[in-house]
Amino acid sequence: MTALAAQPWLAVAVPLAVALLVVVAGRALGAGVAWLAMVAPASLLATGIALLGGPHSGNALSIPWLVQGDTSIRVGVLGDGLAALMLVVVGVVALMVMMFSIGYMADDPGYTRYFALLALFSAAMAGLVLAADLVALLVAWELVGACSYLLIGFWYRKPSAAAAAIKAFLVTHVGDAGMLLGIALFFVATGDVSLAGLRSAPAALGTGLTTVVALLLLLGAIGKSAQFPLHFWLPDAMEGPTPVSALIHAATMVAAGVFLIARLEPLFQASATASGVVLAVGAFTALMAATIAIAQSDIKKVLAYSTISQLGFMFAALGVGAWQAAIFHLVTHASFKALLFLGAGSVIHGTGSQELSDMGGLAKKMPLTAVTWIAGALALAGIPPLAGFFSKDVVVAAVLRGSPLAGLTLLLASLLTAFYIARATRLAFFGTYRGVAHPHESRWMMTGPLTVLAVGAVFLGAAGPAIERLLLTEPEPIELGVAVVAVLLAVAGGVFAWWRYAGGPVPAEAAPVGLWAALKGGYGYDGAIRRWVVRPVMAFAGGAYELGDRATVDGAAEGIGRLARRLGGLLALLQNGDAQWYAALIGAATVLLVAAALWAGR
Amino acid sequence: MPWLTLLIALPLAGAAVAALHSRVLSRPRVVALAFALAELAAASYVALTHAHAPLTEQLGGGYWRLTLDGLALPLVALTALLGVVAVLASWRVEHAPGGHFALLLALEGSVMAVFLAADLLLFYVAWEAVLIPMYFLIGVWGHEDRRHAAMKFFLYTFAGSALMLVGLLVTITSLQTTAMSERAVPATVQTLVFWLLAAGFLVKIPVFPLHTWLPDAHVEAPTAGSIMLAGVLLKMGGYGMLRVAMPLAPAAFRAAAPILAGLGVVGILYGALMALAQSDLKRLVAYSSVSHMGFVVLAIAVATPAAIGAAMLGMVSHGLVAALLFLLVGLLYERTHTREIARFGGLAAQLPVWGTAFTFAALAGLGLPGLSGFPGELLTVLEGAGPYGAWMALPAVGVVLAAAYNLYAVKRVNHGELPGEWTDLADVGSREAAAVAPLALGIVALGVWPALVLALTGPAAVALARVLGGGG
Repeated sequence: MTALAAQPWLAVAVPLAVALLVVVAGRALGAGVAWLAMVAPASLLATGIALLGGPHSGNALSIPWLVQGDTSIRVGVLGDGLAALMLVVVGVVALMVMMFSIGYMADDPGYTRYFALLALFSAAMAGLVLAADLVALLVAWELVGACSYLLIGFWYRKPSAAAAAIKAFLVTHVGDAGMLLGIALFFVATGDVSLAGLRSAPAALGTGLTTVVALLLLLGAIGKSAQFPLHFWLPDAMEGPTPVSALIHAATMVAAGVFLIARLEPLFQASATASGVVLAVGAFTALMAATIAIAQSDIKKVLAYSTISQLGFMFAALGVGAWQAAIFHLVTHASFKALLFLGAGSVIHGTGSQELSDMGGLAKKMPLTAVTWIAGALALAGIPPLAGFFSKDVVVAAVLRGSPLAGLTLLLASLLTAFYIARATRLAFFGTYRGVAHPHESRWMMTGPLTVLAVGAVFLGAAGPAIERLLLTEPEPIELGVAVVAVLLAVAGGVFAWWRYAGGPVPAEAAPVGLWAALKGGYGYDGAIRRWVVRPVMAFAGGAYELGDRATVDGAAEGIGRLARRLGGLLALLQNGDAQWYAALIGAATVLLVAAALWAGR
Repeated sequence: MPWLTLLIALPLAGAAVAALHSRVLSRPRVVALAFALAELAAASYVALTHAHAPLTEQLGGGYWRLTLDGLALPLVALTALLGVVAVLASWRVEHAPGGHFALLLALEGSVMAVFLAADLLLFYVAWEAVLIPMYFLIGVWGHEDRRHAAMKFFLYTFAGSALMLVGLLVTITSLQTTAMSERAVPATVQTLVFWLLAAGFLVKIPVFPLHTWLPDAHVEAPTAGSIMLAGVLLKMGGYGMLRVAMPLAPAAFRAAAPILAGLGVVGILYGALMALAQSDLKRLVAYSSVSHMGFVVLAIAVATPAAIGAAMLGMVSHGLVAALLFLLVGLLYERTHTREIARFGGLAAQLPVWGTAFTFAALAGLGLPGLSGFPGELLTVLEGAGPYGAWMALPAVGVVLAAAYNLYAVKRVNHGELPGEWTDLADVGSREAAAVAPLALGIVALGVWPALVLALTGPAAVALARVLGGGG
């Protein structure tokens, strides 16, 4: 353990080696390959635990990676309290997800590829949270994105999965490009790429450049964490296998944006503009995504928009400087949202459908799934004493102090949160079964992870003070007034949904019109992006190719060629077969060339 | 042992044997492979033993001056590797194989001479000598419209090199020597010399708007021709800028740097947009070359030691990635006789090895960290932000477009349902895998450990940047 605390880079190297081994030995091991792959998240968890207990200094490792002339760009790792916490979260969730997947993916022909990618993802995610500098961070950041791309498109024969994969990569890559530029501007100003340097940069950069660098890095965080205006890839990402959604697109990778801003809090707090934008983006996204979540008919889409909304809560906290609160909510959210996704996976496994209208009454047929789901739902809704209540309370209280408007926005989003999760719970687990399959409880390999995560969803609230102390801040007491209001709102939202969906799906929602249709369609954002961004770019590229490249540029070149051939016809007149004439031409040409060379070289 | 002369002579000797051999025996490809492997072994030996001190050779007291330093070594190694890959890629050539392999080896030897030349006249002769085998490879072994493409390739680059020749003649008369050195030409003629030389180099790279020979040449070229063309011939342009134009005309180069940077950025964006619009897979890869070489031109324009290192990284990376992509497209064409993207789909299921390699190559092409494209592009943007600041947003946009055209290609070729006509395609065989594997390994090795190139280029890059900074 002390060895791991001193050498945190092992949390990257071991999963990487495991991923390679899985590829090499995959066929020989058969189904057992999953157990080999689980060594990867186990090494993250072990390192994280070791770092929680051990000293947080003296374990930095930094190696020169790009060295030329006076430029020396190093990459390195550094295991501090925040990294330790993230490693534990990622390790636990990834272990549970892999275990769940043994059952969920049992019959898939891509079994080995699946576990190899999950091991690779563990390595990249470890690199992301341990990165000591922006280059190591960017490398890991893009590699988790590539794993996400490959796993969303895991069932690549399905056109919708292939389209969702490319969409996720491109939209987040827009953010990555901003990050790249931010890193470059910071590097030029200070000659440094270390995170420590960036945290203390505002003094050297000045307000203007600090704001620019912070906003560019924020663009990366917005893309990764699916915040407005780059939020629209995440709902499509649900095309991936459900355990992947739980791990990558709920608990860990999408939280990387929150992690990044938390890591760079001094930079963001030094710029009122940058932190204001973080707050506005977070509060707006939290509410917007919650309104969309209430109208979804696909259980995974409800959870996807819920994730966008909850990440918005975290961004809002970051915007007012309460980064420890944001990380606390990140931890509890990882637990209860991974639980809800795996619960949804269990339901999908049992019913063969993702549509809430095909479910109903599953509490009797899948009791363990139902109980654990309800624990997750109550935690998400912020009902005491479950984990989500505590973390959401510190987030909302901090945001209310910083900006009453944003705080009220979050309270409204809390109301909607309780509504949509109560709606999904009622439609899936209560009433009568409306589907055609014969749902049955999943095997222990799947319900076991649900149970573990449910324990987290119920009890993690108690870990709040410990987490805040780990992140070097004094724990705050519960703000009773905020707590009471928030709980009352949540109860109101939940009870209303419970009453409204008592008789199963509301028929009007099946063929939505007006506001409900707008909500269900995500306000038509996807279509607008397609119409105003994707199609114009493609049309421009096509037009530029036909008219610009072929007709004009190449046309000019070919035209010169034809012209030369005609001139050649004229010049052929010079070829009259008279040797003296040729000699005279050669002589004149030589004199001209030599004269030109002499003139030029004088 | 005159190693550098050997590096040039070995492939040329192989060319002669392959040409003669085909009249006597029926296996010129075995001869070609043997010589290409011997060349790779020789290049590896030289690289390992002389990595840290420039090696020079002069035979006969005349123009045969050769040198191998940190700028030449990575490209010599790349050329030797791609020589083997190109031979393996053309294993099944049926039409006049003796001539094909002889030309391929002659091409390799000529390119080696370009990278090793330390004499302006030798450089010019080697430069022009490269054209001839490439012309015939495209014109004789190419596809439907091969004659036009070959002539276009020839005339375009010949026009460029004619201007380059005048530049070289002016240089030689003003310096009174043909030997390359760190001496610059007089200030009065620097601008003239620089742009005359640049004309030859920029056509070769190629830079917008001088690029339209490239897609035509690639589409019509046989696979081995495309591999050598994209892998090493384009690098001659970048190498010429660094080796010849910069030291001969440093002041003129400094004055031209913003223009070159602009050409680089335009190339990045323009190539990427054109790639996005293609319906022919090989043409798509060809335009992606324009985009990647745009990064190299931008790095050259920035011209700090690290940027010169980035340009070298970019050239070696593109050599590996473009060669892999053209190889894979060629393997697919051998099986399907089409390059029409719309006719593909779902190939990852039918051809798992080919499909995995294609996705891998596309990820390398979009500059994924861990693969070879990333370090060079990152370093280019980091160094470029010094002189050009927020303008680096444009190459950053290029990075997004690169992701778009690469992944759209993967989606349309690899994903979705397999069309009925391709249900009996055979996956990559062992001889083909032997060509794919070294490229893939090189892409990973360079991506993880870019010092493989940077450690070689360091001293030369510092020296070159000093020449630029030193005025004259």
